[in-house]
Amino acid sequence: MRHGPSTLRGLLWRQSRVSVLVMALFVLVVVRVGVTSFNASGGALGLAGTVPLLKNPAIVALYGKAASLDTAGAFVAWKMGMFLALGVALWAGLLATRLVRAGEDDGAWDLVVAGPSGRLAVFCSVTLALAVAGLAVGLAVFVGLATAAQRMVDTIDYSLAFTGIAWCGASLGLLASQLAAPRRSASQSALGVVGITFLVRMVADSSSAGKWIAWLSPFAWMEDVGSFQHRSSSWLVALLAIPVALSGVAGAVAARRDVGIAVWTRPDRARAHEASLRTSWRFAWRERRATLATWTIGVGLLGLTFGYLTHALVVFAHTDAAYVRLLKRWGLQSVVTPKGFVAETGSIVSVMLGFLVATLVVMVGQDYERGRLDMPLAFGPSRWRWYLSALSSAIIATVALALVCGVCVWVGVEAGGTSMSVLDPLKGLLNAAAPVPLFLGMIAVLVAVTPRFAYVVMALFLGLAYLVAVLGPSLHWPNALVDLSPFHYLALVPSAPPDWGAASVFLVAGLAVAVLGAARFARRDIAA
Amino acid sequence: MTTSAIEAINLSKSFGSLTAVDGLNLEVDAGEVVGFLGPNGAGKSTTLRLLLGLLRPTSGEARLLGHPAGSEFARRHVAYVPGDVALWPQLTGREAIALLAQLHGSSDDAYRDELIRRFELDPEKRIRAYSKGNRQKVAIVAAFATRAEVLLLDEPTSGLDPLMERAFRDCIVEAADRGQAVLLSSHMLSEVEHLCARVAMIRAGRLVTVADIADLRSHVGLEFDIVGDVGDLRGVDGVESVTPMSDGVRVRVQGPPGPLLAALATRPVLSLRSREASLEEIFLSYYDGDPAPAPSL
Repeated sequence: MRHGPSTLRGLLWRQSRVSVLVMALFVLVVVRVGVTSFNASGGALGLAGTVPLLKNPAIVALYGKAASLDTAGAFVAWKMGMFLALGVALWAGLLATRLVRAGEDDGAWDLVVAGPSGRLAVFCSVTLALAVAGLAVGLAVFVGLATAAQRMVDTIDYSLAFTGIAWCGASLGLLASQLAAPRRSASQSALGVVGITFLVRMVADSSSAGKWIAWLSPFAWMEDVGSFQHRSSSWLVALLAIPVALSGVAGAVAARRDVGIAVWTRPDRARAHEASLRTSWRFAWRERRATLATWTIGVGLLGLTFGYLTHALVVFAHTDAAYVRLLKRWGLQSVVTPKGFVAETGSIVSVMLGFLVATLVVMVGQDYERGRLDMPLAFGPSRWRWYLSALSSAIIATVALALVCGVCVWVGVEAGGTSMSVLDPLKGLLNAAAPVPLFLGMIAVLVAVTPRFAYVVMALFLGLAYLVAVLGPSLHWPNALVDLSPFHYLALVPSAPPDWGAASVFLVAGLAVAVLGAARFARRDIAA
Repeated sequence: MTTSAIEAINLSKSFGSLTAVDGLNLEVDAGEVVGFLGPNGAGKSTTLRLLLGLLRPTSGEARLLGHPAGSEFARRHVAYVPGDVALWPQLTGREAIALLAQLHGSSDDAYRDELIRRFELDPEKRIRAYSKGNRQKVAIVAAFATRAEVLLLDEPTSGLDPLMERAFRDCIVEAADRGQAVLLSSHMLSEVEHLCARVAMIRAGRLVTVADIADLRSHVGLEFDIVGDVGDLRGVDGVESVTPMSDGVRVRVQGPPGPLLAALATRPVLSLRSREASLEEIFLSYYDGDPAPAPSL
């Protein structure tokens, strides 16, 4: 007979293995692409001209601090490390809230906690599972960099730093799961803190006055570990120790609170707001409003930050010809003008809009998985109407959020000291929403076919498609591959005219696929 | 020709290699309350979900009021209570009831308020704060307030206390009096016995029998507890089994009891008590161990 703790660990492994393996594989692919990109750029010699670029405040804010790019590791850490670390931290936070809060929300942990194992064993097992997940990500980084020529000790440092970032995200998720309920609230809290710490790092790196706030951001600690640059292992200790301390705090809270109930819970009683319940369309908005509010804050802050960085980046471009040549080699020559930088901002926001539309549509799948659709679909509106309500509200919300981001970019641009018509960033960000109908169609089909894995598949697609679009042309990847990425067809609006042909294809193909998805949803079994 | 409110015609549903429902035929008329019985995993919930249009039949047909299950018309005239109610946790009970009423398109608000009072439901609490029983009450109020012609109820009283079970039974009686058709899946045999004139029994996806409870009783027979030294009764016509007791015997009789009573007339009987088989005994006779073949009714 198996012992309780090992059974628990087995259960947690079953719950998390797909997510951990997919994330580790994704990290490995990104790191290997980075190494390939370094070699294709001519290695250390080819990148020697980038040194002035690395001192530009806007570049530092975006990519983090680096003194030189003389090894593949240094290049990977600078070019993709920071955003990859952000992705890893967000993923780890989500994994933590899934293992803890989702299990408590649906009562799955009740039997285990009430049994001989007890709540401490459950908490320790979840913490251990999250620790292993972080190690798996670190191992993926190590494997990706180990074969590149550089000092092994730096590779180990950097891999451990990634583990530390994953642990930071996970420990925030663990803590948020004690403090907030249901899972959606816990996830939003954890991801919100991760996002804010990333922005704190950007602000700290872009100004000399506010450097002290870098102490508040694990992403800044990761920078200060300085793998492949100046090594400072004390920051690595902080990066690994602070999540352990946060997990300890979460454990202490878990031991004292009631199982199934979070510390900060909204009042159990509330006044009814029936106006938002009159149709499936209104309810679709009501169900998604909290998620939309969180995304609006996040995307708005990102727009402000990017807008603010425009001035510094453009001024630098006009003072350094070598920098402009380098940007041309990377296919980023457009960023030497304010409108060009806004256009590049749009391409990054486009990925986020893809994630947003997926998040909003996949809520139908989550409702299906939890059995919430049984009563409404048994004696309510048609499945077509229900699904199309979700799809239409998702695309409207996503386009609206693109416009909000456009306004925020404009405010940031003006605050940074560059004058620009508000229409320019609005056009740019509206253009960023051009592939959204296609993403809507894809997620509509995925949710209808496989509600459980829809989000994972979509997230993988978005991540890889963006990588292909950004790196494919400069690394001379096959056109057939690059052409598969929707981001490849994004016109650089407002510095270039919109590609109406591509936008039309996105719209028509996306809506057609979305209708197919709705048809599949209308025919599928709503299983118990 | 009148159309049955609920019709399952050679209804089958397979999930891969598993046949959950196999050629099921069932009819329920308006104003009728039919109990739907069977052990766990027999296919009761699958059948109800097929009738609701939530599952698509592999073969056969499910119809409500003459219209295909899941069609616009069927959805407008059916209400459903699941055994494990899952709703949006952030909604209050009142909001959940309002949402389901609005989505259904019709609701008797006065009756809804009366049901909330009868079931002593606090509608201002959020769903996440309700116990299982209270979530069940939300679903019952929402379903009955629609006044739908067809009610499909899947273990609707699981989690309700005995007082609320009584309130639920009153609702069913009222619904039947109004002409609503009710298919009631339940493990609470006393509840089914109290509410239903007819039951359908299912086992391993196949319908074992559909019959009036009175007919089932007559097939299972009567039981007599006889006190006194009455000797051996095993040879008497209709006597199916004789079980010794401390002060007499328990005799089970199949068919008319006349021959047994005639045999007892000449023996020293101190007391005689007869009892009809309960629905539980009928149920067990079908499912316990190696059941007798289904009687053809």
